Amino acid sequence: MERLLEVKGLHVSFHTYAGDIKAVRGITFGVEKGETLALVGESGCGKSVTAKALMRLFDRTSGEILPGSEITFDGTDVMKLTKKELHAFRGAQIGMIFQDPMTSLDPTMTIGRQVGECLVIHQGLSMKEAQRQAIELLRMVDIPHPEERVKSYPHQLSGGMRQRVVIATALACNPKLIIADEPTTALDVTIQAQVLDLLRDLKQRLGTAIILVTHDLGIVADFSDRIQVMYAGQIVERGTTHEIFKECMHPYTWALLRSIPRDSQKGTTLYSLNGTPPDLLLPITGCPFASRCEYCMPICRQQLPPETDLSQTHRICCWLQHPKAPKVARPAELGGGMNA
Amino acid sequence: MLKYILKRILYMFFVLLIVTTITFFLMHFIPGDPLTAMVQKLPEQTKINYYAKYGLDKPVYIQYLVFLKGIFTQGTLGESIRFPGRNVMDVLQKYSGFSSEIGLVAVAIGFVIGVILGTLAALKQNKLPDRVLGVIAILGISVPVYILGTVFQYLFTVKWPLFPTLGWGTPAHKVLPILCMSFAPLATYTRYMRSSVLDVINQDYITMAEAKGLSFSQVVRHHVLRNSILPSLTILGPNVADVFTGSFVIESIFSIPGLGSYYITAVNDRDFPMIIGCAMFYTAIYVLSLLVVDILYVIIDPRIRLAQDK
Repeated sequence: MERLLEVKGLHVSFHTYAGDIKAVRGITFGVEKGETLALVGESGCGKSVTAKALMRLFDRTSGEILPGSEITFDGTDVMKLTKKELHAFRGAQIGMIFQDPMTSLDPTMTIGRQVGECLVIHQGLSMKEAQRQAIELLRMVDIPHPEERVKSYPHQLSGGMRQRVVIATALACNPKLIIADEPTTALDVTIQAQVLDLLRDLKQRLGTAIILVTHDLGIVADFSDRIQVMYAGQIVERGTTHEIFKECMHPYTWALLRSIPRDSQKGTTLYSLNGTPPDLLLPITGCPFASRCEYCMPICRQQLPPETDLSQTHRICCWLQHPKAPKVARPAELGGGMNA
Repeated sequence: MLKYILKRILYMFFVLLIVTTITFFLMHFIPGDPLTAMVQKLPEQTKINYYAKYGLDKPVYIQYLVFLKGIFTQGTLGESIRFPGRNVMDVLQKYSGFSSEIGLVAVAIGFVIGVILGTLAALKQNKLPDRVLGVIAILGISVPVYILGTVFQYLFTVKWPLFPTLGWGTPAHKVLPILCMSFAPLATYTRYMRSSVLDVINQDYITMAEAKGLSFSQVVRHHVLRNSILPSLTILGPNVADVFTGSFVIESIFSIPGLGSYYITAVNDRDFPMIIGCAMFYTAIYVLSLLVVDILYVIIDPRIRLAQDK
């Protein structure tokens, strides 16, 4: 496999009057060509910010990617791109699918133009030619009667159809990577399944790499190759989908998995994780999850745990992995066991 | 669409009728009538003859019916009582022309520059340009036009004699009044535009446009402007209507023969036909410009549909 994206020591802060919100705190990861990587975690853990940082999409926000962060995409040093190069890079190399199709399309522009816009600016097509290609793109994402639909406005389409338009827009210039930022969160469940099927199908047909940002572990299971669990701006556990679902060792991952409703637990109270994530305005000493962790030890509050390799692909940041730490078994509903 | 417009125009006549009726009775309730001052020293019989001549001796509702009859049968608004021989229709046509000549230009300038400055202020939110424009906007809204007019006259005709002080005729005469009149609309549009642009640039579709690779100016031109201009358009209608009846203050300061002074003198003189004429004229223009704005809405924002066409 070939490396497509390489992120090293990424730090993103938002400057506010109250101080700097350190949304992403030094994360390192990579994406292979054609691979699907899922970033999961609860709201505010920095997964969307990480996704936006890959295109440096903080134009008029107070967000800043701190110096020292490295983003290399297909041989391009993204951090060194000039404004102009950055505009040529966005959309052409990386496409982005946004969360809410109700708000991510311009209400005053026909969908044909919105899909075609990308082609006009990146490939220098005429509006007419772009419209023709837009019809093909709409056909590709299974929108019925694309010839008529190009002339529609977003409000004339249903939510699911709009999300297909957003996907078509992201695909317009054949990007090598698609970032899907909670692509199904705003849709109802049957439409979610359709959109995921579409994404899966497109991924196979086009061989595009995908970074899927979501808080919903349910949609990740049969969609992604690898999963990274984020918490308070850090990656706490990463591994293949199988490793995260079956062999996970981080108490936070356990908590996430235990909060998924299961048939076998019908009638019992659903597990929920108490407490709130740490305030990102403040410096975090020790493990960010310490205050909510059932297995918290004194060291957890004092020092950030190092990343431990459990296998070639499975890595975890947790003091429980330390040789001197007590052995803790996986909770029973996750199958128990200690692995490695 | 056409059906809708026709319907709106039909409604306009109802509005006109209602406004006219209310105005007609209101002005008759004000003490005094157009003849009081003129006939004071005349013999009693002459007075009576005068009142009879204009029908002012009859009860108000009869006068009202006579007035309506005049409009519907002859299409006339009658003649000024204070200045016999002056046809109300002619006065409206001639002098509203002068008023609108400077007024329309002033509103157009105010609108275009206000929209540009408001956008600029929003894009440079809380930076120096925004602060400067904020001060200008507050000045424009709060400095009364008569002060502005006098200051402009002093600066540009006395201190630096660039333009004529007052009068009418050459294009140079129009510059200062237009400048004065455009200042307040300019400030208003700047404020409206700033807040709506601020609202729009935080929308998801703007982030999405950026993610597509559009440059900043492309984002503004393709996505921001069209989505943020509606509030400014809303106040454009009434603004244009105001222009036709002229600005009494500006027209007095610069000695412009506009409709403004006629309107005021008509009210002071209780010149009934003139008052009614001006009121009807203003109403008609007002309703018409609202209609135009509504049609522009539909053209700019496809989500807005007129009641009828579904």
